[in-house]
Amino acid sequence: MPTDAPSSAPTPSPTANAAVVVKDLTKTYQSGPNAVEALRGIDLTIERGEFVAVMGPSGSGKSTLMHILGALENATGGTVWIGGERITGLDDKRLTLLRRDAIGFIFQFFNLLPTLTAEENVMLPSMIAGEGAGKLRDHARELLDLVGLSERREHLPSQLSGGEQQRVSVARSLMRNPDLLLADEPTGNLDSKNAAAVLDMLRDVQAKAGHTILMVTHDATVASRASRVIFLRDGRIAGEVPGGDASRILEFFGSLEQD
Amino acid sequence: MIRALAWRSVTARKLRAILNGAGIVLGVALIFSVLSLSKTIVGTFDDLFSAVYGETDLIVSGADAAGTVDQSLLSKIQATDGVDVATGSVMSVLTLVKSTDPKTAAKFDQKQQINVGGVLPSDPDLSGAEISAGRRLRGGYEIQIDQSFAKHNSLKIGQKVKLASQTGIDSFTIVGFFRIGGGIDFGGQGFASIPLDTARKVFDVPTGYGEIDIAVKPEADLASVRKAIEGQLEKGVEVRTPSDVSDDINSQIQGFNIILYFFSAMSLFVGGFLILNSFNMTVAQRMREIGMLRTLGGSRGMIARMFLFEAVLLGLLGSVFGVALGLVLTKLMVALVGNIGLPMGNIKYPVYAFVTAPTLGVIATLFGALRPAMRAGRIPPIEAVLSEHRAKPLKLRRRVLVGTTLVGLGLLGVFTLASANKTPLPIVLAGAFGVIFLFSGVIMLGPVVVPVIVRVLSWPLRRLSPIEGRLAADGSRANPLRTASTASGLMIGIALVAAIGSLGSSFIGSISDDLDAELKHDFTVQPQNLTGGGPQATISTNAAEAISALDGAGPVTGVRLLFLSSGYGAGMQAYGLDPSLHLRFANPEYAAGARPDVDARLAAGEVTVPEALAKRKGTKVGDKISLEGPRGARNFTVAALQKGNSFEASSIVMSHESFLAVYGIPGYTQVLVIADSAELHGALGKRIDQLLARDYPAFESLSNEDVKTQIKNQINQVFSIFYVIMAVAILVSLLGVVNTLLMNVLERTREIGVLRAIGAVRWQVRRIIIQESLLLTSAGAALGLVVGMALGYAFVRGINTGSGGVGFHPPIAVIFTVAAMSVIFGLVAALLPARRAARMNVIEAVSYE
Ligand SMILES: Nc1ncnc2c1ncn2[C@@H]1O[C@H](COP(=O)(O)OP(=O)(O)OP(=O)(O)O)[C@@H](O)[C@H]1O
Ligand SMILES: [Mg+2]
Repeated sequence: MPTDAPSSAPTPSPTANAAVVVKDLTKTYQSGPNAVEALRGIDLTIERGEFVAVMGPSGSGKSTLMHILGALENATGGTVWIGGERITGLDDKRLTLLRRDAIGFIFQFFNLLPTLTAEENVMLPSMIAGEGAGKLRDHARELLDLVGLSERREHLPSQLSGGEQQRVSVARSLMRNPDLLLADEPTGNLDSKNAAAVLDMLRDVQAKAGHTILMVTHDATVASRASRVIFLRDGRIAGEVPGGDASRILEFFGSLEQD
Repeated sequence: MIRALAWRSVTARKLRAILNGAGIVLGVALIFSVLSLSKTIVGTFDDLFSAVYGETDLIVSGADAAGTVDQSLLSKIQATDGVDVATGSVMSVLTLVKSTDPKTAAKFDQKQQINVGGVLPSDPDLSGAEISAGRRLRGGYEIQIDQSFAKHNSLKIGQKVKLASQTGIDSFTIVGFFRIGGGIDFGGQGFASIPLDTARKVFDVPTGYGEIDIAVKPEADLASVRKAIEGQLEKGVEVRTPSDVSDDINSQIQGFNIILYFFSAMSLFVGGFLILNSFNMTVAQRMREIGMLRTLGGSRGMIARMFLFEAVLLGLLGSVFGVALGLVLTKLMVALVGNIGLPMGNIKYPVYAFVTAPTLGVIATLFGALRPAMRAGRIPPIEAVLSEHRAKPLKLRRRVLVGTTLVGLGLLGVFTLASANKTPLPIVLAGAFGVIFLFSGVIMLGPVVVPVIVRVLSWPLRRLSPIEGRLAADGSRANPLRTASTASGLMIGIALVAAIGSLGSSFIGSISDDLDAELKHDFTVQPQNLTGGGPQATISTNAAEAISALDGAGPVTGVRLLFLSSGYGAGMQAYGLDPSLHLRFANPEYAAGARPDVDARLAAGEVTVPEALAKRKGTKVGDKISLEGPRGARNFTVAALQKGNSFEASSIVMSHESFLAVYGIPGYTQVLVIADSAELHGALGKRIDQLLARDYPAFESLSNEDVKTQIKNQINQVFSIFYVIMAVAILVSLLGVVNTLLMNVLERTREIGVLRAIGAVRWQVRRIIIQESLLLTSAGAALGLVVGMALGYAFVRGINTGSGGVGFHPPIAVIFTVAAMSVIFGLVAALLPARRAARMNVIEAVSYE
């Protein structure tokens, strides 16, 4: 770990108005005889309405962190609070309901359901929650308008371009108006033009509705759009840089990869 | 190399291999047990006849093995050159009376039935019996009983036993035991002999012989003695060797066997179908890998051989376990058939079953694997690099055309078989291929029809749970070919069940209709073993008289029935009645042109003929027809042609005198009773029951409702074995459903992962798979019911065209049972796949491409 790295986040206080609080989070994968320590003690606080980018070399534990914050996976040690609620130690059912009601997820591979239209894909989270279809449709249309796909409502995912699919998936993640949006390399499969469009949208949404966004990316330009950038290395937080300045981010990232 | 890859493939898809294997195991087990079952049936009869006929070389009897031959025939035969000994006997089935308490005595128990022969004590014994204790018969009310029956019923020498016969209860003294066939057990069938004079009284057979047994002089030539005897016999009387007799019985059972073989072959076919679907899935799954092998220089043949090798492996393994299971299943089958009333000896596992069943198992597996293997061979190397394989579009128009044609041809074939009065091989084949064509046609139409059925059936599911129902329906639509063939597998089993059910309900329904519409009597009195094996028991005229003397009894009449296997009315029955009471008991309807006063003409020795039979034979009123029986051939003038569907209307009707003159059956088959008034109905029923329990325990009295129930039970009992066979086929097809669901879950890993990631709880995921399963099973069941009823309808219409007497009645009970079962099937088949889906690792499912 570079010695000149900025000190890690302040000691989290679970009761504070933070969107995400992580304390001493560890994750160890036991694969056969050898254990892989993917996360080795993460401390992190993200305030409501923040847009945070996460960067780090391949295998540094970015996805693992996102999965645990997204209630998709259990931590090995430490504690995580989402919106003030402690999620570590909850059972599968509670975690599932948390994903359904409080968290929106945007994946690298879009992950739309191939047999549902764009509009139906957007409505899906609410339908799973058992909400009636009538009002949902209006809301889904608003969201599709928001992501600029009003004309594509009836299209199946296979009839949409990658960028369009990712925009549908952004709309889907907003459907239940979650406090926390998690995006793991949302632009990883898009060209720079589409990447920029998706990113603009995310910023827009965050500015308008005040969602908290945590986004993993490999691209310094993309990361620079965030309010701050957190760096991971070997399962630890290696430092933090404020957003806006792509070259500084690139520089820091370079220093991480050199050691 | 090929072997290693094939083995790897099996172990990589263990669950699928196990499901496939289980399908083959069940199919092979079924074939094995059906082969063993028929061997056991045939073997029991062979043993029985060789035991009973011992030193007998030739047997003279009526062609139908019922009725008696003329008494004077015996001395003619004895005088024939080359005949050493000829003995005449009469036979009947009596019931051992254990108590005369009406409550316990009344119910028929097969184990208490005993085949009794009346023989001249002075005659040498030509049977294979050896006296094992006591002495031979001398005369009077003495009886010799076979050892195993005596042991079953703990009887001792010197003891008196009561036997119920057609004339009432008689008491006999046991004078000796004998052993037949070295003491083997024929499924509880008992044997005994009593003196001929006594038998004539007890059996109510004043003259004639049931059969004449002949031993030929050692130096004489059997064939020429047989010729000489044959020359003295009238039409309707036959001379046969003991092995002819057992061959005749076996050929009667042959029809039953053919149906068993056919049905178990269908199960194995379903097994092959399971393999076909399953290998198709494996090929689809390994598309990229196969493309890779091809890129690396693997030849088409090598790829195809790899799959075929896997199939052989599977087939062999499945067959071994199949035979093991078959050993157990045979016991169940034998017990079921024993229930129907066929004598069942020791179970015999024929050597050929150990060869045939596994061979068919491997063939079915190869049949299933062949097309997928060839398809795999044709996969171009480019598939290795394509990310997504595009399925070839279906040629729907051609499917509809070919499918509909096959369905039409199939139904026609079935109709042809059912309407035929004789069943030579080509016609049997027409029927068998009819069924196969029908199924093939429906299978071809599957991808067109099944999605429509699924769409309709998914409607309530989508209402109930919009998103799960929707995704379940999408899942079954994603691969219409796979969905259709999975549902088709189930269709075959269900269709056969529905077809059998249709036959059953049509027989039962038609008989009930007749009973409701045409019969005027209130009670039917008949021997308790009317449908059991052995010589047909009859009711003596004195029993009929005793019943008519009861308080509250109105008119009482006896009828005689005989199923004809030769002569003019072959395939129909002869019906003997009292013409003076005819109209009190029936409403005969005659075709135009009938002579006036038919009943007087019947009394004078004329007959009536069913209109359908007359049409076929070109018989007109006034023609003479020749009927053959044990008493020879006689000519009768046709007084009228009878119309209608009743039992009587589909018989050749004559007076008792005429009946006796041809068939020589002394007693009545049934006694029909009308109550004096409706109020007396219940009381009369009780009195008849009491009388029978006290004096004639071998008989039972049935109200018309009872008759219906009894017929229903008998038909259902005979059909139960078919249902068991079809249950195996259905089980095999359910393995296919599981297989398909597992594959669908696998292919939809990402979708399911996404659903879980955005907040679907496990139960919701389970629900999708369960609903998908329900759609599959209920689509298969719906299709099966429709196809099965079409099959049943074609069959029933065929029978009606051929011999008349049945109308189509939809099998309501079967329809509801199948509908309910399809839900249970769906739930059961979904257990494992739903569990897999719910337990899926979400992160893995959504993270990679
Ligand atoms: N299910 C698992 N079993 C075992 N090891 C795992 C598992 N998932 C992740 N790992 C390991 O944990 C470490 C962190 O993985 P993670 O996917 O979080 O990295 P990442 O930062 O997202 O990398 P990338 O930029 O390549 O996506 C890696 O060494 C990885 O091999
Ligand atoms: Mg990652």
